[in-house]
Amino acid sequence: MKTCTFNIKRFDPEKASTPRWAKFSVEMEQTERLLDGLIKIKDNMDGTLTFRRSCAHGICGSCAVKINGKNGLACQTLIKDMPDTITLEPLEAYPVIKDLVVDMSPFFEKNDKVMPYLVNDETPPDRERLQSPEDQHKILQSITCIMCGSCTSSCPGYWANKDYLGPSALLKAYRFIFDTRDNASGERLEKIIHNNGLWRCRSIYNCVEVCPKEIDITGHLSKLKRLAVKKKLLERK
Amino acid sequence: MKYKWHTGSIAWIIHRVSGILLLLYIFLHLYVLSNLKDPQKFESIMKAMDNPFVKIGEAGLLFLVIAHSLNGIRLTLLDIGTPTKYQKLLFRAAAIIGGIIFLIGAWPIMGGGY
Repeated sequence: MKTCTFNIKRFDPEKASTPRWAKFSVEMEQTERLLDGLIKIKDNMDGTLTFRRSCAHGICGSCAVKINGKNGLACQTLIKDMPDTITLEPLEAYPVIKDLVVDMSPFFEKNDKVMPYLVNDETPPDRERLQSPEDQHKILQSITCIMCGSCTSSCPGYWANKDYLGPSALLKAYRFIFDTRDNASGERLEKIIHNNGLWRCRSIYNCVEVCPKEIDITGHLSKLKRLAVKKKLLERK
Repeated sequence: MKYKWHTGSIAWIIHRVSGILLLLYIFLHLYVLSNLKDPQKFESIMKAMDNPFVKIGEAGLLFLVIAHSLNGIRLTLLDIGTPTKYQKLLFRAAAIIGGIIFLIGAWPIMGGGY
């Protein structure tokens, strides 16, 4: 057992116009996770503390918060890896609704812009559309994205320009552009090659540092950049 | 709490700041060269270059050029397909190589000899 101090940035738009800091001392087991601490606070100390959580197993991406200045999933962060004082803040760059809950709609709007669905007008076969293991391997990492929003919220490019699509939406574009079953790769690529799209990625690697699924996001974006350059060069010929 | 600084963000800030300063330097450089038509004025400007503060400025310029070009090489390597896992190693390598080039280059600028 160890006593952890949770330093939480709280904000209630109905009561105050500015955020405030609240401190909670919680007895934690080394094997517990940050989310367990938040649940303990809400259950036993202050029922008004607001945060999002759903699956608690690193699949839904609801509990993404800024932990000691770095984005991550509260359900995936173990107490044993944390210092005694834990600072929790809502995700950066999204509008805060209350305490640790942010409005994710700007994030999902960006996602919708890259046609995040399979486009294939051919008549489907009797069962599923088949894909070779090699082709599947190309998108294997990108399909593990749980859309928690940690990456886009950690991106200085996005902090500076909220019109930037952000790493998450661009990764989603990659997922379909490099999917061999998809027929709209060209159209989708056009949707991301602009000043607020692919070229706003400055290879800062913050997204790679925070991704709870350890996806090499910037590496995937580099691949998209190479594809975009190749396409434009061929068009010119 | 400020967002945590990672290697990539440090490299990016260095790249940005050095890029802007180098752009400003180009104008200064063009101003000095624009005096080439007048030999006497040019001589007097060249004399001003012996000022120790200008020397420090020149060493600073060397630092900016090295930092910007080596990080540029790092970014190019990463963009043409070097795996992301090497990005921090490349930054450290650039810092070490850059540091050595800077020391070798700044020594004669500051009046030393080999």
